[in-house]
Amino acid sequence: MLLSEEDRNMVYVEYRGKVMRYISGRIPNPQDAEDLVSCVFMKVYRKPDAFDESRALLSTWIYFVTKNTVVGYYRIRKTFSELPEDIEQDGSVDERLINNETPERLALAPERLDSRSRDIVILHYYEGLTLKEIAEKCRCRTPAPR
Amino acid sequence: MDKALKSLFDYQKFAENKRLSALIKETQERCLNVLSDDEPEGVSAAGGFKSEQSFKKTEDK
Repeated sequence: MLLSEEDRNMVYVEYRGKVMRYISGRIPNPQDAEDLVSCVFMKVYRKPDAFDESRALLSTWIYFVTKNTVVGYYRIRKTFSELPEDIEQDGSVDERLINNETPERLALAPERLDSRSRDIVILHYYEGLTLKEIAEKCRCRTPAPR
Repeated sequence: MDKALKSLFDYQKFAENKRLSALIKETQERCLNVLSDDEPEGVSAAGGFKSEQSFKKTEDK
């Protein structure tokens, strides 16, 4: 079943920027990135039946379509070693977590940390820095492994 | 926990939650020397980043 033209326009306007930024951060070739963005929206337009409103928000579903499209791109190229490290290939953790955590709850979690702990979490899990790199940036000692 | 945090922050790169984006920006400015739009003093007219030494030399003149 296809979305109506009006719904397609609405989805495209609302999500194109987010899809493009996510893909551009993981696909170095701009032309390939553009192609993948188109691919994501083709999937979204063609398969709204796959989206179950009782299980997830539209935004989270489009996120999973986008992420899986990126993983598929690397799989087709048979260059799994190039897949960015922050993309987990195991979707089971992702889906459970993202569906259970609303964006507001997600933002609240780091707020509860002290400033230094929050910096370390963000630098490691968002920026992808190693603990050693974080220590150099923050000019503090690397914590001993536990 | 490690996988959970990676998943959640990867989702943030898509969702761009405003509250979390603000926290991330604070960390980036504090730890990565990323200049905010309100701090142009470290940027030269050509758009490059002024080193501390060149900045001090300018101040000494």
